[in-house]
Amino acid sequence: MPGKRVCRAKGASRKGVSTVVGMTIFLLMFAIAVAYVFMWSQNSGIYIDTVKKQVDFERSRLTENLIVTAENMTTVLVENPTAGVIVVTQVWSHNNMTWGPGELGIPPFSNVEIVGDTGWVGDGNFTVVTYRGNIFSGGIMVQIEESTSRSWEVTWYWNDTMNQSAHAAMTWSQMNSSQQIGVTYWYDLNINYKWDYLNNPVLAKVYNMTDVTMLGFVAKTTLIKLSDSASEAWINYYISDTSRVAIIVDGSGSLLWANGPVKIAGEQYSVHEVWVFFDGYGKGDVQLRLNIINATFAR
Amino acid sequence: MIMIVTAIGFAIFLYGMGFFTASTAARDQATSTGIATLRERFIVVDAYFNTTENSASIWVYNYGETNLAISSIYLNGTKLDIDSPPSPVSITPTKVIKIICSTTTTIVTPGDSQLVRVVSSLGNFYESYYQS
Repeated sequence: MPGKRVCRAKGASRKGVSTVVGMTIFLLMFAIAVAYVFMWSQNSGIYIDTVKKQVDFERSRLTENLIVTAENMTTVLVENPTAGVIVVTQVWSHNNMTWGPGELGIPPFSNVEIVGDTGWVGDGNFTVVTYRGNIFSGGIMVQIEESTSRSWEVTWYWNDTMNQSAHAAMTWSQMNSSQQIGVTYWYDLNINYKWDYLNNPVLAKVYNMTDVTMLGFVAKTTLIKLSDSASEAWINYYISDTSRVAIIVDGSGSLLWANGPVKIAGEQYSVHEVWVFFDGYGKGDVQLRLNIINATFAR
Repeated sequence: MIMIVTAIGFAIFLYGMGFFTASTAARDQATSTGIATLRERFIVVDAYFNTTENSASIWVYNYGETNLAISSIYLNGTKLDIDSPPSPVSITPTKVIKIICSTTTTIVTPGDSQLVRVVSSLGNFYESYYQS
């Protein structure tokens, strides 16, 4: 009996060892699996962090906006209408990098003029590349396309002394002493204004005008010259005998009594401010016919 | 019994170790490639086409955070030969480089818009139209 008891105790001990060995191997594998899962989660964390950074970058990239305006063939005005700083790295024109590579920060709600490298001649169309990989374009041709919606801004005046013989076409000082009636817009580049002397319109009655030559206007616009420097832009005009006109280009000009052209010299795509002062004189119909060659509205 | 349990357990342990090691290595590689792909960004800032010589000059700007390796360039769906710089073309971050390509067939029509596609070695691509 005692021998049998010893045999049973030995068998029970062996069973327990195999269980312990199996459990140990299982626990070891479980620990290793947990360690690898931890490593994988770390890896995924790095990837997710990178994705987040890229999403942030893309969001910043999408908020970028620049308004690119060509000032002439070599200079571009870059305006930042956003609330964030935008860094320009390159400016391209005519398949050439005219400025850069570099880093030029444009502060929020401000603009920077970028002048192309010397010795380079562009085509007036610019592409601006930002640090975040956006491309913004603008050019003179774009301005010309946009100019179709531009106009003459016409301010109307009347004065009971306007038709006196000594009274030349209106000037600013004369305008100040005249009454402003209102502002209208002419969307045609060419002007053809005529008012018959005997045809007394409602407007004349409203303002008690005894004569249509008491009425005058100042038409102003900005033109962009389309021809190159070798040929001028022309402002051809015709006025009736009882009309007077003064055409002021870029601040200079004089009263014009006889019909003829006013010529505008300058580089191609140069921008010019034009003022046309017109009023009647004496007794008769008033008329101004004006057409423009080699230039169009600019903004 | 102990021997059997130990042998089977050890075999499973070895298999498990091999599986986890291989999986982790593959996952590491996939993650690294994925991260590099995400951090790679580039655009074509300008393109010029020589219709008489059937060649194109393409300027690529790397605005990403990693070195960019250009794998191939396509013009209107036709793969171009990269003449300069020598292939593979590598561009460091914030740099712009001019790549001159050519083809033996006439694929550029003067005045038309040309579809340029630049493909990187990581599989990213940039595609846009440019006037010839």
